[in-house]
Amino acid sequence: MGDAKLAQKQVAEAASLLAPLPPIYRFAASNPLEGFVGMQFEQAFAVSRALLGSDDSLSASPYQLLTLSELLDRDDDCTDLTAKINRKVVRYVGAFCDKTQAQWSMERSGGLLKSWRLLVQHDWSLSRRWKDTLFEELSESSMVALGQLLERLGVSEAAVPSYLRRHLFQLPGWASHLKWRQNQGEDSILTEYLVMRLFYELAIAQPVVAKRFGFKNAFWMRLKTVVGGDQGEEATQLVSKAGQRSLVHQEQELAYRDQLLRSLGHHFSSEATTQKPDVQICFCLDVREERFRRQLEIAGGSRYKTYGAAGFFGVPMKLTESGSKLARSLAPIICTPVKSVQEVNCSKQQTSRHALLAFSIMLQKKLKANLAAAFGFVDIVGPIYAFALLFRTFFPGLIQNVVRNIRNTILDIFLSADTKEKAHSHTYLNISSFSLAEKVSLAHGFLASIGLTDNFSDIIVFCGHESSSSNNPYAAALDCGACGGNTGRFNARVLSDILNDKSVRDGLIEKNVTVPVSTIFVGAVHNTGTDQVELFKGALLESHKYAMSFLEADLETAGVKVRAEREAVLPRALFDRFNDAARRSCDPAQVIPELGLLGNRAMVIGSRSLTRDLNLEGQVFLHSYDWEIDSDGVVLQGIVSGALVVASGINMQYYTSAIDNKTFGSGNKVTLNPFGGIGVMQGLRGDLKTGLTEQSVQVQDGVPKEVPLRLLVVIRAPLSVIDRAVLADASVVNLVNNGWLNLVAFEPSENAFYQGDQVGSWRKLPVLPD
Amino acid sequence: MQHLFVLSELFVRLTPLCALIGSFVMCSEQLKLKTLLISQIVTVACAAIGMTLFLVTQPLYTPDPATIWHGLVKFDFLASVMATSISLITLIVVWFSERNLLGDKTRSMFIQHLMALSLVASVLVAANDIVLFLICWNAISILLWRTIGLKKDAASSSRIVLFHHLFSDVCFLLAVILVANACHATAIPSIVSNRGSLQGGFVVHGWSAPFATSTLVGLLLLVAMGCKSALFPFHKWLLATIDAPTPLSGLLHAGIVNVSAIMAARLYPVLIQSTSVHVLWLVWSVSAAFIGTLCMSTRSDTKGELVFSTVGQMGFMSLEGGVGAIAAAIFHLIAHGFFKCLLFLQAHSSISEGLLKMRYGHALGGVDRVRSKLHLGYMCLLAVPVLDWLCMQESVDSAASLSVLFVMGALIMSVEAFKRIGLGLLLAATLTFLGAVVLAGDLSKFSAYYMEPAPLHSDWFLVASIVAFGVATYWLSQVRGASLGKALYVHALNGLYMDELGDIFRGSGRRVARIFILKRSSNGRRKTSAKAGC
Repeated sequence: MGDAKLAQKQVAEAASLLAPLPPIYRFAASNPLEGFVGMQFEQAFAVSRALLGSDDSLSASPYQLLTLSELLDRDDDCTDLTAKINRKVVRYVGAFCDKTQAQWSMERSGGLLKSWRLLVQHDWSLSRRWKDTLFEELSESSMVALGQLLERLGVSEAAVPSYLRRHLFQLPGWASHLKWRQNQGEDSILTEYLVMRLFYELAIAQPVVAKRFGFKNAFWMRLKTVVGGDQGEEATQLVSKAGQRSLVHQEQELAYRDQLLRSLGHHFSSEATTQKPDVQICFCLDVREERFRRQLEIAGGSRYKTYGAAGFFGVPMKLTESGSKLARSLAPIICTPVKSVQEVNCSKQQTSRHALLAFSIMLQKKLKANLAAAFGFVDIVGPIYAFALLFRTFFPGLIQNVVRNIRNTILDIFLSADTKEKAHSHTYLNISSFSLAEKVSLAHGFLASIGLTDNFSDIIVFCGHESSSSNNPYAAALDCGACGGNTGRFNARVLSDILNDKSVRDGLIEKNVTVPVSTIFVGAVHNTGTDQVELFKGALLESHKYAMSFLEADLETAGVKVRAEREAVLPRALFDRFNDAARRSCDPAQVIPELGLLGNRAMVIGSRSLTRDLNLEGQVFLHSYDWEIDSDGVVLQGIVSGALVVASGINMQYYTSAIDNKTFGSGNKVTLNPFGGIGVMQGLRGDLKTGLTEQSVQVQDGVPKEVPLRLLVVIRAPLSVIDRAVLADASVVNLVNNGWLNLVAFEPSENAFYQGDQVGSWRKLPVLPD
Repeated sequence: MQHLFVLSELFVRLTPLCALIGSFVMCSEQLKLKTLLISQIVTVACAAIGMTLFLVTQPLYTPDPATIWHGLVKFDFLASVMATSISLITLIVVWFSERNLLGDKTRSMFIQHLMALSLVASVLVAANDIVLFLICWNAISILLWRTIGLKKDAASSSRIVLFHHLFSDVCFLLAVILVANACHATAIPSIVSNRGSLQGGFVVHGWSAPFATSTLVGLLLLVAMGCKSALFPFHKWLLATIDAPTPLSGLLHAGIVNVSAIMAARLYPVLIQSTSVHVLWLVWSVSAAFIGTLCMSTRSDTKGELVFSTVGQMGFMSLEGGVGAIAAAIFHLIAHGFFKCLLFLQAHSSISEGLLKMRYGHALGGVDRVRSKLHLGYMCLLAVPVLDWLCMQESVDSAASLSVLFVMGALIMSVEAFKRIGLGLLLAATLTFLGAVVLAGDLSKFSAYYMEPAPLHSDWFLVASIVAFGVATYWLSQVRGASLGKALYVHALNGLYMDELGDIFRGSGRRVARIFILKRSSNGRRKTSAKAGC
């Protein structure tokens, strides 16, 4: 049992069902059941609910193997051992994981177990006997210690993974967060966590056992059989009961499928003429961009051609903003970027503004927590805060502007005239970590993936997106999911910088893509909170200025329209002045600043001509794809294993949070309690919450306003190409075969729809009457 | 003019009352909310007018200000100031809740409850009769319980809150009975003037206790007060309120925990009748301030941190009250109210603030680089409470104190750390603070007629404890790395094991309940998925 490798394997097996939970500031919607994709969708739901303790109907299954403390709790109503263990563990693990909150923080060198051992010897709630046990008998190596503890608890080897899994699922949020940290390189943190848990279990439960049953008597024997019980059953045999409670709204899904396919099929026959547009704009595939693209096309007519792609624009990177020391990973969470990009600022203004803000926040916290300063500090700043309170509540946004103006004025006084001028110019990005060959292949790969390889307009815009909201712990969930819960502005800028590079264009010619000299690429970012677009235009040619001015005006118009569209569906406050989008995005009281990706239910992979002029109501992910230039299916394979997986993850996140917010979501936003800069809790209950809030998915009393649907994926490509692309990625095969999404092909040769119930087996759908 | 003052003060209480009654009969949600929100604006306006009138016309008054309804209610400056601050906080909080609880079915109910809480508090501050005081005191308990119970998940938390408050209410009730019995009066001024009759021994049915009635009364009042204002170790209810929506916490920490200061202000002479109780009060306050601040600095959850911060600040406020610097205490609690309300309403920003800190915290060398300079800042801030207390003493020339304050301000600003957040901001803060202190000085002057000179040289106790805070800060910064510091950290992290103590009581409580009252059926097992509370 002492074998470290074995222990590591057992822990990994126990944790295999947990989805890693990154810190909340980079929360990007992803499938919370990703560990379960090997199972049928409904079964996965049932098993996860059973594991998370929200469904008792499966109590007899091996997934419900109880821990020692739970057995004791079950025996006697007067004890609450499990809650005690959780509380103890959360205190230390929480203090260990806390990044920014506590002023007096834990000594963290040497990992979780070591820090805890250093501290726990001072803990008065642990008896001397157990402290001695801890320090004399327990090995300092977490792997060995885990084996020792399991042995003392009497868990048989076969039952170890289940027993450990049960322990991990006592606090699924923390376990998931630690799993994320483990994936980030802290190899043994989950094992250390389990050692802590098992130690407390032993320390808390053994006195109870001794008191209730006497030492070394029948109870331990019985316990051994129960805890170490043999369980040959397999997961797949498990859940027949689960089907009784259907979580899938098959009828609505079918109805929606028919409706969407009808309009696609009907619409397709009247394909738009291919005339060269003035501007080509590539947006993120995000459902919110569907609204914006539609309104922009309405405003500009044939002047614009829009594309959709994953919003990191094929450029995964680690970005360090100027003055920052934290690199942000701008890529979908399924991939880890290797290239670093630095934002370089000519002026110091941006840096010093952030730095000043950070400094004053830190100073305030220090003074607040200092015994000598706290009381006098409150006396001095309290009266001032009254004004801040009034302004923020009654005139949200105003105070921000005023403060910004004052601050800028102050800075202007201190900054020299030289830096002042530069402050108005944009920063530039240092992309020297990409070699020329890499740049060419990135650029070519991206252009091919959206089917833009010839017929280039003079202006081509890559438009990422971001969101602004105030006082919102889930702000990252509103940002670009394809950029890992960050703004998409940098990726758009990097790609346009790459494509504006003369040598890259030369390299592209070798790959049969000729970008005309007159073409410029422009980065942009769409703020989904206010629906304004910021263009990062560099030096413009005279010939571009005309089109550009049109573009700016049309973006403005589209923004107004989209805002109106959104405001019609958002819940409204009593007084109208708080309801417009601009104010929502800076109102600290506002819990629903925007809709986010709520209502996402389909994904269309194909050219825009399929969907142009259709009102898809911001419910559809749109990815551009041209099957005609992708005979071997390589491009589609990239889309399917990248964008499709991300979209399905987003869909599942909203789905699970809406269906069962108590288990998968994070509950009501107004009672959230932010923890340590890394997550949120619900009130004082000690576990980190993992999903979206009730407000984000519009759940009221556990019932979603609109039933969520599994993602319907429509791909316009020959069936054989789709098959090849799907089969190349095992996780996508699982998604399709196990019913995590509905796959429909729009076969180009006969313009008919095929439903793919299993990979490779296609069923032709009847032509639907109008 | 005096009638105008009384009228506006009456409006402060009647407007929300009418709005609340009106909102119960209205069926349109929109109309209901509109009525409530707008009436709160009117309330604040009336309160502000009342306060201004008092300030303008005060010299015309006879020593006994506006007493109405046979002395049941008395509108003095303290009542006026408190009503203004509470109604202002309530206004902010209800406007905030209107958007914060968007889409929530309980929204209008919640706002009604908040306004009712505020109404009760503003009646309480004007209560001139101990029975009315008790009724309001109890009404707060019930309303809080109901407000938190609006969320179904928070049922157990609302019970914790109710039990703590009822304990406080019972203590207060017993004290009221004893006082009324001994003084043959329930009006607060008569109690205060008759308090000599409390000095006799405590006799029940011929058994005479070895302590005076005043000791028992003082003790009961002290516990009632400490429990209501969440002094350690009675802070558990304040932690439990985290389960309620954030705006409630905003109101609680800014308005409701403060009612105990009003009690201290009104019944101060009775409270300090017994020297032992007085000493206990002072020691308790200092420990609460120390423990609250210590625990707060180890908390990692934003709201929990704010709760412990309040525990510490309430301890300090109680200390100021205990030494007789009632006006300083009131000033402190109003300042703290705004401070804490803002922090609570902005609590969710801690994620983005943390991110900012992680990204840019190292810039400008970080706060740690200026640590040695910071110590000077700490010491300056340390003196602030002493100074505002001095400003409020009639014997001390306030001009002299103010000039000292200016010097202080200059000193603070000379510290590099403060310079960085902007001179202008700090100047504005200092000026506002001075204005507020002058107001508080008025408060002190106008309410001095019923105040006792502090006995026991307790003013020196204040100075001594403030010095002790400074020494403790220095000592803490020295022992942090050592074993003692680690031990202290662990105790603070565990909240001084109050949860563990609670477990013992709860476990035995359940056992007793099982033996004597309940025969539990064997299938009455609790869910095995019980999650932790920390």
